[in-house]
Amino acid sequence: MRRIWIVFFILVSVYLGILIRLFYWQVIESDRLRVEAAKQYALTLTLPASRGAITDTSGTSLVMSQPASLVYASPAIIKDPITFVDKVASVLPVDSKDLLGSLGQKGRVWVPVAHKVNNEVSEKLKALRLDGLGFENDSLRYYPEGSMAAQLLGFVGSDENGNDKGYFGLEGFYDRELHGKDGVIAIEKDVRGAPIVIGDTKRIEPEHGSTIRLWLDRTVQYDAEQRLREGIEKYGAKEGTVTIMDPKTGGILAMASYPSYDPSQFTQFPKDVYKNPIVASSYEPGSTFKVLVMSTALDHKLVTPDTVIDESGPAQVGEYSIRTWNNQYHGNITTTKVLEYSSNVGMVSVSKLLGKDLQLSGIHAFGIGKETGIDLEEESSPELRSDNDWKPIDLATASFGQGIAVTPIQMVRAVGALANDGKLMEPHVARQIIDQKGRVIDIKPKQLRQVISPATSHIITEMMIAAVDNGEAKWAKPRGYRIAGKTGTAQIPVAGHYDDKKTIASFVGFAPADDPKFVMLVTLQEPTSSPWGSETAAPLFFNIAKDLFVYYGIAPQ
Amino acid sequence: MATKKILSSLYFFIPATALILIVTEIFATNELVSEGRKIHDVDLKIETVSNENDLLASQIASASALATIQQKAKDNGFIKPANYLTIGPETVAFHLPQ
Repeated sequence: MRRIWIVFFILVSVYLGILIRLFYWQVIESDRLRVEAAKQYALTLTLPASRGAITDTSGTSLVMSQPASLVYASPAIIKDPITFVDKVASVLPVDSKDLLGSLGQKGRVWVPVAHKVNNEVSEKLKALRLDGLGFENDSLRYYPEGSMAAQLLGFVGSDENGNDKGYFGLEGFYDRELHGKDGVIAIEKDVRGAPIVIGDTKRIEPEHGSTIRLWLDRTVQYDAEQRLREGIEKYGAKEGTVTIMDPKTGGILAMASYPSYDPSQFTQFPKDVYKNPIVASSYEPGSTFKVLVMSTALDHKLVTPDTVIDESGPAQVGEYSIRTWNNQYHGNITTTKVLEYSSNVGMVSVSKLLGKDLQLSGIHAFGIGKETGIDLEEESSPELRSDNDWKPIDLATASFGQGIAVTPIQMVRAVGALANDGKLMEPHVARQIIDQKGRVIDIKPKQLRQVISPATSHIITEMMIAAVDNGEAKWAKPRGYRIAGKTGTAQIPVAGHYDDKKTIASFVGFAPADDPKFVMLVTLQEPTSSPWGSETAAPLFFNIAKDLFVYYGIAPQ
Repeated sequence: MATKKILSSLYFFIPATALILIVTEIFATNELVSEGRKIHDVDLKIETVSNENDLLASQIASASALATIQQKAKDNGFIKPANYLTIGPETVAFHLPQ
């Protein structure tokens, strides 16, 4: 009897042991085992979304995505790591020591060798037929026009998770639209890894990135960049910019900066060159600012083109004495002549007529001191001093563009208003966003406000035409065209005072004056051949303008 | 008697039909499962062709780049004209409005 009971208890213990073990595997470990089992029969593939392209106004690609490879190594399969690394290094620029170290690490099943390897190099690696060398789909940003409009476009780097992310310019601003969304396909697979058609299938299609179509004309951009490079060399300047905008829409036709960089190899360039100086760097505009102050005075009917101003000698503002740029004085002159002679003394008189409130309201109305809202990631604006902090000398110097800082895009936008019947437009680089299904979102031109009346804009236009025809830069002006413009030569502030040798030479204008097709600003930093805008920036402006007249088929009058 | 005959033949035909259908389903399912590999191969081909298309698009874009066109024009002897002549509408004493 006792033996029967012993056997009974042994059987019950075994039975309980099995029950406990079953409970462990089927309840406690069930989730983990379910995942492990799914890995055996479920195949999950990422359907990568390709990043959208950026095109110019005609639809020609400026940036596009090209298929590339992520090259990886499987250490478990590699028999001779040293030979493996040597052969890979003969094709790819890798750190052999680092790679060897990674391959030798215990427990590593997958080692990334290189990202974004182009097709040509991938084919060379595949030709090596190395066991343990694998390839996964990747994509590479390709710039058919090379480094054209680099600072406007920006570049694509990686975020903290190693995913593609746009930085600076359009790639940064429109990163979400360009990025797209990866899809996924989850299917049941057989023992050989082939999909089972009648099995469970889950598929989420990738949403490819949208295409961004710009206002930019690549021919105009190319010409502006070439001319700028020639101008930098000819005038011995350190840096320079050319900004061309359609005054009626605010569409940016070209944005050229020097120095620039190659966005496909951005890591090889210093970081300070990534920022677009046209939207992110400030400068003192000098005499180009006079047209804005003068138009404010005209709009408030404080002056007319024939109002007589006393320019018999330096202007006194408190303890300060303000003289003309060339120390020449013409006695009684009209306001039109003030612009022709680019008279600082004349502008101080206009400033006094305006008074603090009207002058400051004019500056604010033209958008000075505020970001323009252009669709580029790194836009910033220098701050204007608070209205209460303006002293008489500040107002006086601001009337001829010193003691006040602007970005080139602020200046272009403001002068664009003069060319557009007084309407201030929001500048834009992108014109349309086109999604993968072909749906088009138009980014419509946006009028911000009426800064001056249309009548005033016509008057200031005529005064600016006179400034070009009779001013210091008249020798460079193309014959037969009515071009409205103004030269500028601003001293550069250094450690609290102005450097008497270094200047920023600029020229701003629009043409044809009667129906402007473009407004353009040219700036040259520290030109060495001559410090004056009339001898450097102005001829460069006119050279580009001549090219644009031919390109747009604008005949001389 | 006739009813008995029909019933007895049904006892044979129904299981036979069921067996034939089961065997057919097994064969069809087997064929369909092996199609999975073909579909996978086709998907790979689509991906390869799509990548080739993208590469060709890049090559077209590169060949149409302005720097490339300018260099080709230079190599073929084209030069930038020094001056442009504009031919405007003729100036006449009178013309009928259009």
